[in-house]
Amino acid sequence: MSLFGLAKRSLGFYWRTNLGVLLAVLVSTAVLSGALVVGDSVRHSLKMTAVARLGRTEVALVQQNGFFRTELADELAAELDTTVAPVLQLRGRVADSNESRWENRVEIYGVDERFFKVGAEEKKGAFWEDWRQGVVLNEPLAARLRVGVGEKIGLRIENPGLMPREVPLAPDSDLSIFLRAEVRAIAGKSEFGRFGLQANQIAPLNVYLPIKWLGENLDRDSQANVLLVSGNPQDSITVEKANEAIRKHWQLADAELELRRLDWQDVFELRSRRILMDEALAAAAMQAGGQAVGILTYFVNELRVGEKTTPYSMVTAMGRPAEGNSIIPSNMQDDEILVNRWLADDLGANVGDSIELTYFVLSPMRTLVEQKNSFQIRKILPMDKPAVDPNLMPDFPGLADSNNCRDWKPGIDIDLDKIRDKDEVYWDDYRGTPKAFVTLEAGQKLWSNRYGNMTAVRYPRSGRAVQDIAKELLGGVEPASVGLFFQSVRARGMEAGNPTTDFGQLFLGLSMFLIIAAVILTGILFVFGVESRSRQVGMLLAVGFRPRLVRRLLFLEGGLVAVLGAIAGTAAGLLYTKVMIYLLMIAVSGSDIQFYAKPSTLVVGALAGVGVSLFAIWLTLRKQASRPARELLAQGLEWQFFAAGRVSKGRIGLATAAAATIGAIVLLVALGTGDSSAVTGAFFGAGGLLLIAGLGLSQALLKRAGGVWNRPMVSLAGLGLRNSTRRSGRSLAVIGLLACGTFLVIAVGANRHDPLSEAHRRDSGTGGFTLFGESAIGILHDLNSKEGRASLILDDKSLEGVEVVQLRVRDGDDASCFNLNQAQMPRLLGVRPEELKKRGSFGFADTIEGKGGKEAWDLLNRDEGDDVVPAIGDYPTIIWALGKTIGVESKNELKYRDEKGRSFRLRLVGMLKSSILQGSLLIAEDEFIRRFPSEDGYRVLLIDAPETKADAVSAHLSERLTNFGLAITSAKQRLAEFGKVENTYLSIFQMLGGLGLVLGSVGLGLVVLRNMLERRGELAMLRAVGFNKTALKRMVFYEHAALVLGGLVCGVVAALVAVGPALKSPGADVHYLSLGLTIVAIGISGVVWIWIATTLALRGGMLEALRNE
Amino acid sequence: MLELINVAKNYESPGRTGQLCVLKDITLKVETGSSVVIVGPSGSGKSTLLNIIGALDRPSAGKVLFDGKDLAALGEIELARIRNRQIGFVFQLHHLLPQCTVLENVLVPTLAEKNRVSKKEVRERAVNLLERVGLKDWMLYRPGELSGGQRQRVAVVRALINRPKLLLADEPTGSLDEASSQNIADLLVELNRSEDVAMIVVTHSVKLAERIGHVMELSDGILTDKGRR
Repeated sequence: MSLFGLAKRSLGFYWRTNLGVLLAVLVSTAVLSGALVVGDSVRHSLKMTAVARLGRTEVALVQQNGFFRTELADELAAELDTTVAPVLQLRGRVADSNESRWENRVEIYGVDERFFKVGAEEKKGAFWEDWRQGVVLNEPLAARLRVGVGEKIGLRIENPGLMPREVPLAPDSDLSIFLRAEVRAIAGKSEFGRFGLQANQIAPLNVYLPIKWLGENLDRDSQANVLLVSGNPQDSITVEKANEAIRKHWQLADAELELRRLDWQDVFELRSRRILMDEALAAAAMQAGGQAVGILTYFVNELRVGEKTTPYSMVTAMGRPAEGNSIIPSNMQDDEILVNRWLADDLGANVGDSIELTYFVLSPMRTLVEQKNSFQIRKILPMDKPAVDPNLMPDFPGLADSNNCRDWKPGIDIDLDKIRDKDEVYWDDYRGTPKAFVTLEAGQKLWSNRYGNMTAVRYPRSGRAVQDIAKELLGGVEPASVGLFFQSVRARGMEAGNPTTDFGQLFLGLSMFLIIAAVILTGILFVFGVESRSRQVGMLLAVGFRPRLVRRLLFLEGGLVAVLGAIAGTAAGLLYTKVMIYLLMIAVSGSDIQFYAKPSTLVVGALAGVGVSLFAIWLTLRKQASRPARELLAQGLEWQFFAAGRVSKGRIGLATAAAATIGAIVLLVALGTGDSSAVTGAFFGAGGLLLIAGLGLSQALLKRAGGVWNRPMVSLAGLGLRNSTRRSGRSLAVIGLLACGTFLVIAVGANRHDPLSEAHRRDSGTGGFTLFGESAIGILHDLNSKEGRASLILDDKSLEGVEVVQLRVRDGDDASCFNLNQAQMPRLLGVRPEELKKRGSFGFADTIEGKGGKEAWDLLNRDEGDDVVPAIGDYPTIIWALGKTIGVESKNELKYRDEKGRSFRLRLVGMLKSSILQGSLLIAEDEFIRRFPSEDGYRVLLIDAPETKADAVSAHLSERLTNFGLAITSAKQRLAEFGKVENTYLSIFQMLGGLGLVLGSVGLGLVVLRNMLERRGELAMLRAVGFNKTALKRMVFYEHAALVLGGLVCGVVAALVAVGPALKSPGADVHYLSLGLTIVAIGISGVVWIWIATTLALRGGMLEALRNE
Repeated sequence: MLELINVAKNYESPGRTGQLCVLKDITLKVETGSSVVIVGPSGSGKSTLLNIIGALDRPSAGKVLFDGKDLAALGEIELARIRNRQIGFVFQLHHLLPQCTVLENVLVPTLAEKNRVSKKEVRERAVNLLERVGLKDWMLYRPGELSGGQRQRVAVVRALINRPKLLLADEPTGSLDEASSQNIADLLVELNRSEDVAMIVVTHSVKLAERIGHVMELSDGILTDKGRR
């Protein structure tokens, strides 16, 4: 016989009571461990998704503004001793053969077998082994298009073109190519079908084509813009090593440069396939080779001297080195010009005359802005070498390959009437030979733009080989400056797999009330068990057990029950997890969360279950053996309750109530005004404190009512109320359970928002826009201007009254509530802040410096320093997806890299209310262009169309801009989709809260039953003195209804304060009737439990009870 | 061994002024191996007095000396130790643990202080005592399977398991039939002698009082020696 043995004996003997405790522990443990396993499952699924989308990729290079040789992959593979896959990545649109189903935003990947070696499971006879034509779709895309192997699809793929699309001379007629192809295979996860470099957990829509085939179709043969480097067995692939390998192996062609020998000029000429060489590259080129001569040749619309004009000509700006081979004399001034004889004759110009040049410059949305500049003719050059040099004209697409001027197809409108026969003859004889020359400085001042400031650099040969200059040039440039740099995508992917929101904690939070209810129930049931054995406790004390030892004995018994309950609860928790995962997948549609339980989590869950149960048991035991043995041994347990010296005035409760009320008032006064998210927190905090105050007050009332003897109760109700004070702990537990449940129901209900209720307003989440468009290919033109619309063949009349705000897009991680990953570098949108400011679009929830209203858009133009860019996002993006905030220094910045590999930081300066821009961050367009100059066009359209013609506008734009892969959705619908996620979480919360309330009701029923059973003798006495059963039921009803009412009042009052801001907020969708009905239902449920328990307790012979008494 | 000097016990009366005086100026001396029976009407304070003697309650005034030690000066832990080692209790209701066997019930007081006596030794004593009260064959039964008299005998054995110097019995026959009462009275007298244990019995039963001998009466809080019967 030992204490443990005694505890074991009691465990079995009192199995009914213990079973109740065990079930309560089971529930709390199941919910606890279940919630933690949800966290495991989400983390595991995200890690699995990261593995599925990256395969064995360790580091990756994504060239943003150009293409490199596919051979670079072979060279790096040999250097790094691993597989390196070249990929040609583009965006596109795909449709089934009869265009009945299509997807507008599809990732197009040109790949070869190396790609699958990096990411797919090894298998013999796989489709990539002998794959030259045909496309492969990934499973989600095939499912959406409902196409299978062997069927034909149509692909529209963006055509990157040679020149940046926004340069006026760049043609805009071949923005995309169209391919019709047969589906060769459908790639599942094991075949790298999930590939994607962005940490998005919703599967992308991918099309794979043989890289060679795709390259040929795009005139990008043997070129790629992405490299995937597989981890090697030595696990030695790092970003540093990969970048070092690039430095070692990169060639001019990898920066789309070409160094050619020009014989009669006796020079090497460096030119770019992209026509313009960017400034960094040009600067490095000028340093290489010595005596380099920079060249910028530009297309001018008109050359004029007096009334005479020459149309459409090339003018070259050229450096003038001290000892170089340049046409420009070293002492030529920037306002001087050299013209060739042909031009001088054509214009009748002489040395000293002023000549006016008219030309287009780069301006937003390809608006053609014509500028003029005048020069003084310094010299007339003979029509001979070196001035007659057709090589000075870069290979302007649409010009260089034309046989005559009338075939020119540059990106600007050419007035063919202006072209004279003599111009055609000049073209035939001299091609693009420049007709005039200015200094490089003068030319760059006029014509350089964000894409570059030179079209060529020439080096005197001086007996050197091409390789020498190439080596010198490459040695002077960091590959990253032309976009050739690796990023650690695996590390980033794994980091993203640790979501900002810990779903274990989230579901723990959502289940908290259920857990609390189960724990309170554990305590109630356990204490009932102990109280029914109070004489045993008394006996143990009497025979010399110290109170601590008695408590230890009971605690041991409770511990055994808790352990058993926790073991069973952990098993039940797995089932609970499955239900929660199912609900989570409803909330975040498209997510794929797999059940995964780490053994350590189960142990933690079980221990936590045991812990909280033991805590509840310990709380209830604290006072158990502290009563004197003589009291416990006494037949009636109640007498001591009213004994001398025990009358309590409920001072603790009163003090608690007073402190909590003061706290609530202080909180509301200090933080409860203004227009920030702190207000919501303050009100919720105040509500919570008032709930505590209510419970404190209830405790005090119960104690005081129990102690008041000098006012005799004179009614049945009075007797009932007096009875409710007998077990103030129990009564308080009932009030607490109901109050918490009511608080929760109202708080959740009031936070429900109908995102669409104010959606027409400009300061709402739609920004006052009716439609939201996203395209695969950037739209270059201004959709608000007549010219822009005409360029896109849009019908101006159909778009009457329509305004469009066009946003530039830099792809990144989706930071919306649809992505469970922790977004590392969210998608960036470039916006002209003044456009949204003028419209007053989108409401701000918080800003730095407390700037509110539409003025807050100015924050995007703040000067934050060279490497800091101000950014704005909406509340769910900043708070939930990124885990950031406004104004707190350590939590308001994100690290980014621009397309040249330079690091910069985004500083969050404003937070919009939940909006259709969720998932992205906005920066000012000029900053966007500075960081990502090669992101051409606008891919997000915010369309403000009259409500009545929204559908027609949507149809018109979708049809006319189909080649851009434009997908338009209703702004309201988009906002509602985001809102649905939040509301589903609230529903889960409410459902779990409801379950908690059910447990609370069970607790209430048990308390009533217990109270009645304890007082059977007393009730029998009352019957003996003439009360009938109905009267007794009424008395019991009064007693417990007072508790139910107390709970409801505490909960409702506290909740109404807590949700004050939510009730007043725009879009608040509080269903007062349904909330009211819910509260009434809680009350009715309480009454039903009282009735059931009373009926059970009053059943049977009362005289028996009286005799026992 | 036990001496009560001018012991009084008062209770605060809620809602009223003044105090309720249950025991007044009680003086009592009990020697080792002696026995005393206290009689008196209901509400006279018999149980209160017994609780004070048994260190379950403290007097409002006066001293309770046990082996020369003033119980009022001792802390709860020391009192619990005295209750466990020096005093045995028999209640009107047996207060046996229904979940334990008869033998286990007898051994319960030995669990209060770990390793004080060897388990073997204490088990042997329990079996011996049960044999002496005629319950050896019942020692593996549960209390629910025993008659009222048998249960009370188990309770008596439980009270003696730690060889107490003083046995306190509060209405030990109060809930028993006549035959069982007689039986318990015999047992108490016999154990008083054989175990050399002093005994204080509170009872209404005249027969039990006569069997024990030295009678004292408690009335209106005052204890009066009625001498031997």
